[in-house]
Amino acid sequence: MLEIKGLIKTFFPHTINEVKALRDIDLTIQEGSFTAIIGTNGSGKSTLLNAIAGTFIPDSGSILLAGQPITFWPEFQRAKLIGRVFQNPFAGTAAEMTIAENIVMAMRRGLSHPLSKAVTSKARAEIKERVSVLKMGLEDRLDNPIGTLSGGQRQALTLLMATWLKPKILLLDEHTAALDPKSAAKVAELTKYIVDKEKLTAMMVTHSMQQAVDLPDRIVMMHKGKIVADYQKEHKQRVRIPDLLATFDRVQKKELFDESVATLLREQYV
Amino acid sequence: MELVTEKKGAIFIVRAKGRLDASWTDFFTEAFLEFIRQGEHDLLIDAEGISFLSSAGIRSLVRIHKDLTKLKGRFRIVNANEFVVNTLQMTGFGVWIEKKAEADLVAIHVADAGGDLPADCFLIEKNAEMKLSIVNHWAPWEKADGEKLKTIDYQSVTFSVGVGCPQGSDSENQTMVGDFMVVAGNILFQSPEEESRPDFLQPLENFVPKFRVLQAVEAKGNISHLIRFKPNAETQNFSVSALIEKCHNLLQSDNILFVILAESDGMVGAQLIQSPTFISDSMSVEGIGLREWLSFTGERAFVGDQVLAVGVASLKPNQPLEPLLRQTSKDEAWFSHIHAAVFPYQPIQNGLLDLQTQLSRFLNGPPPKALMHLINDQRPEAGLGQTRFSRGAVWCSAIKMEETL
Repeated sequence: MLEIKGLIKTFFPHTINEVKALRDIDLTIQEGSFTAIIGTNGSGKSTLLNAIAGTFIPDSGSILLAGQPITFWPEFQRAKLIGRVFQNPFAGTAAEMTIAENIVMAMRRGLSHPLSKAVTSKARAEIKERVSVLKMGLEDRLDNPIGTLSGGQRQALTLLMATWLKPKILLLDEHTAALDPKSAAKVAELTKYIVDKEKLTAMMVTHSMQQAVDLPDRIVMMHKGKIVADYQKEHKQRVRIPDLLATFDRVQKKELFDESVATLLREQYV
Repeated sequence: MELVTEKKGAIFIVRAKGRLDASWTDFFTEAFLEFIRQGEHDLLIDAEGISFLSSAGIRSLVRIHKDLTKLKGRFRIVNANEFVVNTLQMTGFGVWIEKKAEADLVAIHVADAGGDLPADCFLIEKNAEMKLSIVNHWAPWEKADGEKLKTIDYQSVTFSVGVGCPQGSDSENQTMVGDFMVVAGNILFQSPEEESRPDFLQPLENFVPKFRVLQAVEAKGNISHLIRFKPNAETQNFSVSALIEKCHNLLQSDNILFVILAESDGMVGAQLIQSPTFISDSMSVEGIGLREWLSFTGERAFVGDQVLAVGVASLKPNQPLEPLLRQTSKDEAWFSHIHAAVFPYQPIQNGLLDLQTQLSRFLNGPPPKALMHLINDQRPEAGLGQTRFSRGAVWCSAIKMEETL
């Protein structure tokens, strides 16, 4: 379970470039739940994921992951608990190394044994079996450098690697956004399959309303560093893309509702 | 596939050149649906240039024919080559083929104008008029008293705009007072929650819709006239006040009930998002705090959707009507109160239209997307102006005042 309380982060404080990226975020993610984070550009979605991953230390507030107070842990220390997949399919793998070598690194995360002894026949058999789940034929190309694969294939492997050791939480930061539509659909499908099969706790930042409706069991909407809507349980079940778009619309319109609109409506609404 | 169009009288001729096969049917169908949307309901395909027609092509023609039939339009094919003629005849669609020469087909459209009426105006019932009543137990932004909700049965001759709630438990009534409209006994309402969807109560068999009303303008009676409008070289769209003015010119009455069914060219409106029964004695809805009670479109919204609006307009409103009307536009003399429901676009046929038939069609089709109180946004610089429509129909009647309920 992930518990975030009163999380605040301001970038470039007291300067002309000040950005209040997270404004007093309270959020509890139950174990085994899959949550989509949606919102406008600059709403704080990725900043929230980065705060959980430890990319920066928040100005105030606390983060509790699987009962451990990780608020002030450095990023590398949190990596033992957290799996991450980024937007860039080339960000999560080492291009010059083979598929097997890349996966072995993920298998041995947190251990200190040298890689030269790592790709054992036992490991290879396990890798082959689990890679075959992707249904991309990659189980027969384990010795190929990962850099020779397409973006979609690399992102599917990155997803597999990020979840190999069943992280306490899986953070997906627009992980299908840079893929072509067919690959994006395939990786989205794999995401749902792996999260369900491994009963993972996951958070997914996405701009795809279709993914937000189809994949997770909860949708959190952010705007200007705040959570402005939270669809879960039966509320999530009835939500459809037009409902999400309408909520975006309402949030933005509320911002445009200034004194002049108030004066107008006071005169005109009867 | 190349399509060249020409208008001759009421007939819209489309000269098609190329293969009407699976690769081109999407383009072909979309082009024809757009012609229909633009109001071209008498379509003639000059098929001289169509070299091949596949089953996918026939499916496209069936779709176009079906849409036109719903709109009581006409669909014909001329000058088709032997292959196309044989294909259509063998598949049972030979009835579409017109053998007459194109020139013979051109006819001048004569609208059923009902005597001396201008073109595109129709007399529905001579001397029909409306009687107006007022329910006024609330004025924004006073505390609304839920005990004063008045239950009203809406018969098929009733038209209304106001705020109220559907019949429910007393506790629900306290929380559900929102904007509503009644068109020929059909109630459309919007619960005062930001995430709620518009809903409606339709009279069916013995069911007469009831509503609990806090404040409303109500008109009972029959519609006397119908006006059709569409863009032309001078006018690309029609403001609400322009349509009211058309009704006034036709009816020669200073008090008008009107129902608009038209394609939106930008809606400007507001909607209750919290029941006014929640306003407490100690609360004052001041300044920016109004946004907790009303949402505002903030832009010209729902362009291209189909709108059903009902309203009352008056040139010189007196008590008790005056407090419930506002100036329709900055520079014109009309005062009005209008509510509108927005539906996904569906084409409507040209010419004479029956209001009940259209209501039934829209209420039994895709659900409404929004319901709002139309606003004339006359703020300097930032003002969005009035709601505008591109094409559609206005039913109207003269009204006279009755007692306050």
